[in-house]
Amino acid sequence: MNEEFAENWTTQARKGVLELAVLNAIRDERLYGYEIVKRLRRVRGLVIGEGTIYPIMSRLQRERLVESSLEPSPEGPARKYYRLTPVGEATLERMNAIWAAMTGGVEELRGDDSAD
Amino acid sequence: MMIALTDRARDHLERYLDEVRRVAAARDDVDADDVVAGVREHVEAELAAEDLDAPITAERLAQVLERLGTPGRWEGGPRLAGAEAAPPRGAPTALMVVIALGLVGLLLATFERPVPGMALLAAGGAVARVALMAGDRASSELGELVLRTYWTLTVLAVLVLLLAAPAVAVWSSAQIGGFLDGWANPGAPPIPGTRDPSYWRWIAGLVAVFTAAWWTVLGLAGMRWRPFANRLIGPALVHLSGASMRGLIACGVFLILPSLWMLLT
Repeated sequence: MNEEFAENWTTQARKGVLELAVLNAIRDERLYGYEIVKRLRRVRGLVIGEGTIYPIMSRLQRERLVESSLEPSPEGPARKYYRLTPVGEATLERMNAIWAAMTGGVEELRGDDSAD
Repeated sequence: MMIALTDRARDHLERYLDEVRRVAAARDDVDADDVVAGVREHVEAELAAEDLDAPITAERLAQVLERLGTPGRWEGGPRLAGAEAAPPRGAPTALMVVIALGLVGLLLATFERPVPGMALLAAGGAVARVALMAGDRASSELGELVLRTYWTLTVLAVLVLLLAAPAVAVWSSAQIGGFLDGWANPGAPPIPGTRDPSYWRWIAGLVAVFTAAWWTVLGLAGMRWRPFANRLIGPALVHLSGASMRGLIACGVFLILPSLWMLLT
């Protein structure tokens, strides 16, 4: 196996999937940063550095896919809760459709390979 | 309710957040303040579940920061040159240079080349300081600790060398070697009794060496980090003050005593 190639491929794949995973994590409910990280921990190998999600959240806000609000917390300082904007919801719907088509197609190809 | 951190942990967290800000500021697609606030909130949220009766230690904080990862290596979007250029935590170049300068400096100073030896020791301290100020990190907590306590370690090494000197002097002046030979070898002359002066010289020598060692260890173990003084004048001066100074004085005294002993006997 070409370790270097596989490593680069994994990094590139993770980049795109992370944004999709973050948007899906807040699809149905508003969450604060640490809660999003805890959700993403369930996906093995997805998040290598958990701090990765904070630049992503900042960028998604700039793109107006996500909005945030500060709310007081009984455990400490106010927490920033993230939720999808209407634009974010529409964009995520499209991203999920593309993801389903891609993964479905790749699975078919893998199925063809294993049949040969 | 804010989480309480030890001084060392707070210092560690602030340095980490500085690195986060530096890397985020180099990207034009994110708001650096936003990213820093998010990471700070993450740390506080994760540590809020801990036992709040005791301050969070640097070791516990390091586990959280380890999972957050090195900011310069975060994924999740196109990176700019500044982000790529962030110093990787796994690059121990500065640490290697500092260790090499320190060891060679001590070696030269030991072999009667004090000026170049001290120059190399000072250069090692300067490299360690610059590396820390530039945000460079060693590959491990231990490596980073070496960088941060370079002068303390150097002083300790010098103390060990100083301890060896009175030990050798006392050993030879009190004829401990011959005494032990006699003890271990039945054919040798019998062990002197308590009325024999060499017996008491042997006891006094041992007491002198162990007292010097004990005072030194106690003095250094009793030192405390003093964050403000540490930032201003460096670890060496801080550690040479107060309790650890007693260790140095004790070493100095026991360097002189064996010489006086030899002159008098």
